Amino acid sequence: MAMRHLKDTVTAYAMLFPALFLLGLFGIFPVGYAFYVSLHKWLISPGDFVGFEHYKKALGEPQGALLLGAALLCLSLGKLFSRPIESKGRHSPRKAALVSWPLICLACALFLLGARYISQHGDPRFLKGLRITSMYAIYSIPLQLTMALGLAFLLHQKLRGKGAYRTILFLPYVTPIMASAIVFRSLFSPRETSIANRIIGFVGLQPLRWLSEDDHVIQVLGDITGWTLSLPVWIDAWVPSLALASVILYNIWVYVGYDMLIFMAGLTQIPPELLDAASIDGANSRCILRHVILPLLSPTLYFLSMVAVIGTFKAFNHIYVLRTPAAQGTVDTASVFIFDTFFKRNNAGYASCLSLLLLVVILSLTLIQRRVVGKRVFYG
Amino acid sequence: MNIRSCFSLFMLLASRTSATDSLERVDPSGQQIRFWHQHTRERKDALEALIRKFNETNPHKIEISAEYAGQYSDIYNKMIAGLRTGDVAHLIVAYQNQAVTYSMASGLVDLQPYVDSDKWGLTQEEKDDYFPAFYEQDMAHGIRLGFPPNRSMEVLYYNVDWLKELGFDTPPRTWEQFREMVCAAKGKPFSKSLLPGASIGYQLSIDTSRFAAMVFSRGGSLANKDNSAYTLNTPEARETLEFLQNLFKEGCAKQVAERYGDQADFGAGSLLFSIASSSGLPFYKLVVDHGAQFQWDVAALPQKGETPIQNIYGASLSIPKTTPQQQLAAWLFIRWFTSPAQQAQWAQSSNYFPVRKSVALQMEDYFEKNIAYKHAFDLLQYGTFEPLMAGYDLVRDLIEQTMASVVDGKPAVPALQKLEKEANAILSDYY
Amino acid sequence: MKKKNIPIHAMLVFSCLIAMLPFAWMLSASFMSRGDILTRQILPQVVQWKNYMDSWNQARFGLYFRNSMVISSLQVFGIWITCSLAAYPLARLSFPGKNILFLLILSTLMIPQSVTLVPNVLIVAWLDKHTPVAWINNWPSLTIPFMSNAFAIFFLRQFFAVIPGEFWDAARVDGASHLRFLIRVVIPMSKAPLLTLGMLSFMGAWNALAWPLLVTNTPAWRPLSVGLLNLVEEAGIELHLQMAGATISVLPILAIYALIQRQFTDSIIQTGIKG
Repeated sequence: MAMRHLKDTVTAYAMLFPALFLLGLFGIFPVGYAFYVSLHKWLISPGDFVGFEHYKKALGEPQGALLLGAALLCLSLGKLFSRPIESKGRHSPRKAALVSWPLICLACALFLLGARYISQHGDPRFLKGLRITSMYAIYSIPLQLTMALGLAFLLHQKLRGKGAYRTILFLPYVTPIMASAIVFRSLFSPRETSIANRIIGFVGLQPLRWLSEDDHVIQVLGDITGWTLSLPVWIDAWVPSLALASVILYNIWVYVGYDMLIFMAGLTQIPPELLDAASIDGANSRCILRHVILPLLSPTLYFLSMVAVIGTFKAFNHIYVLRTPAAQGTVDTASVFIFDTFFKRNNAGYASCLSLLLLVVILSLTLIQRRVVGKRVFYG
Repeated sequence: MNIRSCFSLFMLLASRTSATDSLERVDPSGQQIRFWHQHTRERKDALEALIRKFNETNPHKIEISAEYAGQYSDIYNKMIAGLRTGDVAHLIVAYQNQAVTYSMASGLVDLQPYVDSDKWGLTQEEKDDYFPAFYEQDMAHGIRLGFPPNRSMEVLYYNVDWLKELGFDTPPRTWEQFREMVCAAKGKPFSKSLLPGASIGYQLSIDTSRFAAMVFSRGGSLANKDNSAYTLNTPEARETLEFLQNLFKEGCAKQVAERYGDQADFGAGSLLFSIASSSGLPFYKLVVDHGAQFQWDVAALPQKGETPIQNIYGASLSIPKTTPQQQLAAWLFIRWFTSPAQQAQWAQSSNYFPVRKSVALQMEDYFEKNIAYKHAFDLLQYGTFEPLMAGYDLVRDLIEQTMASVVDGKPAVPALQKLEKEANAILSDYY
Repeated sequence: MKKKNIPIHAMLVFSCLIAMLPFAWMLSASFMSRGDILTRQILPQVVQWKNYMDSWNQARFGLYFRNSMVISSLQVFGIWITCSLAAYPLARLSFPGKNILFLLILSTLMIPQSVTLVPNVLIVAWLDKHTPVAWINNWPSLTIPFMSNAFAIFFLRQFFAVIPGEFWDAARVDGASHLRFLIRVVIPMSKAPLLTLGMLSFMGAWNALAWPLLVTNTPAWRPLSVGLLNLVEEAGIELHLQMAGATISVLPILAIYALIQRQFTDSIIQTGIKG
């Protein structure tokens, strides 16, 4: 048994070696290099060593970051405690709750305290970038994935013209950004005669400024309908501007076809016999969907949701092309801010620091996703 | 400025005298020079033709090889990487603020010794032949970071026919006249307009060059004399933004709907004035010829004073630090390229402006066929330029956001205060 | 056509119209004349086939197209090999350090490109000097760094993991090693994911721009994306040529996709185990 285990380990690492070598050199080394750069005053060539100055500039003094770290620790401890108690067979929910829930509450409290500290002392533009990135992820991923799943499922049935539909729906991802951005900019242009404005004109609404509108969506709705809805500040901050909403639409448009493709690949792994057997047993299609397809598709769904989170947090090209000065930076995600810091501010040291912070954020989200969703994936 | 850059500045200045002596003895023969540029299509062809001519005719058998290196940000990437690996081109195209950043990393050569050199440089007569603003623009604290191969300028494009219909014979001299004409256009569309319903006097495209041009025309500037701080909350800046804000409020002007939208609308005869770069001249000609086909021309922006003050800009040629021989060879190409004969050819193929006054003599024919170009050319002597500071690109973005918010109705003074504060905070990154 | 399918078809057609719009415009613009572009037409007045010829010549498409084909294909083969090998143990073996390794691999996806460009150039420059092969301005720098990527590893891992354990048991009984099992059983069963991955990686390589510009100085090994950049004018009015160029560059990818999506028609897990 131990021999097999050793043999497995050796095999595993041997097989992993080529990929790890390349990734280590061209993927990990840059991360290390970025860390090195972030510790110096580094415009385009090395300057003085400044330690964690850049990090302090971005997040304020260490307190804030430490609070967040403590929150994550509590969260993982909380989850940790809930498992052994369950697996011991004596499933005692009360005992589990006694330890894990308070820890989770503590984690939330620590997180809120840390976030509050950072928002008061950190770099406002970077934090704004993080907030915009989060909004962008929250508002586009669920929509994207749902639409893609629906389409993939639909196009897996016996349907005429399947091939044509699939190809056309993939076009947005394939269309060069150069072309699709031009079209979108003109579709959503502030002109009265732009398509978007003509469409809402049908419904009797005034032309909007779309990509050039920095007011947020609810405000805009309020302006149109005359109802004023004043929201508390902390909700306000999480409503996207109309410009951001337009960019989100653009991104959903681009990525639905891509997600659909991957779902389709996932659907092919489901043996048709299973589906036949289920329907013979009398299950209707909704039941099949829920109890057969979704579980078998969960690895793909898990993959896509992880990749979507990583992708939207890193997204750049499709956002940069739609920026306008009139949007007043409400479209500037963290990666846009990092790009500008690097190229326009010529500050490699600070840009590297911000990239690493972004990496930590994405990594944390990935870890949380793994704990929450990963356990429910059915690998069969 | 911190100690480090002070010191390197000092060393550069101190070394200049010794550099000039040894410069005379450097031998540039047979050098192979790599040149990173960002020109495409016709400009690239024209540049390569000129380079071939240089390679064939220069007495030192210097050979330039032009390498298309992408757009400005791609060249920046290459430079940063090159400064680390030691693999840089010998001659590059760079905007002034990029050049400042490169020189902070000690990556560029001071070109003034080359310009002043007895053997290799320019005579006083030649130096005077350069338009003053062009000659001055690349200087930072007495060090020359680059040399101008060509320039462009902000100009006022105007529809001559429509202006006549509105009852005016000459383009606006002052901003008051501008306002008068623009608001008159609102009520009376151009008779030949292809889009009469969309008629408007002025469309603002949000661009810092426009803002700077308008501030300059009022006698203002964007930074203090020695470029150590931004001055963005000045009376001229306030006047500029409030003037625009009022135009917008009165409905006499609006924002461009999309990039080059003002060009297209101008050509269709539904836009009276457009303030844009002179490098757009051939495109304006095209849109008008394909559009409403009317008489048009360019003029200086409306001004406050008697003498016009125009915003000129353009990338310069800079020389990274390599070997003395290669540096000299690269300089000799620059000197050749900016001599009148070559400038005449380059200007005509590239639609940029030449950097020397005497070029006018060789361009008589071209002037005859391109009257608007000539009118713009005549304004070059009145040029001034935006500040030469590291990180200026980011400040440009901030200025543009401020422009957008003020023309939208936000009060100018607090916006400008905030802008100035942020701009100067960015500056503190470097010093 | 069944009656209940009509609403479905209607919805699909509507989605397709939205999906197609920019592509249709790009196609239309690629046949326009300069005048059409300037006056903002939707359809060309006279179809200008010569735009394709012009952009092909002006952007040296012959050379760049060949380069892109070679570079992208090499990357895809590299990815198929290294990432299948790497995904297998992550999916089906247990060994110490597995979770941390997986996270480490995933973290390479989380860093923006602007920050990785320069360090990677440094590595490539070093390799250029210290290996007998030229890296700068040559195919190695354009392909080898990308022959392995975390997305591919993660992607394949998910698919390799769902293959039922019975297959491995059967293979082990026959005396197969893991490697053999991978090559003989797992990979043939994963045609759809592998083809999908191949196409997505091909696209990524095909469209890469910032990196090729950094590591090449002459046209010799430059890909099509650089050629397209050549068509971009500072004042952007030559849209018709740009769009012709863009259309040309899109065609191979569409062709590959059309071929691949046929694979999705049937499920391709063959039940090899009877009874």
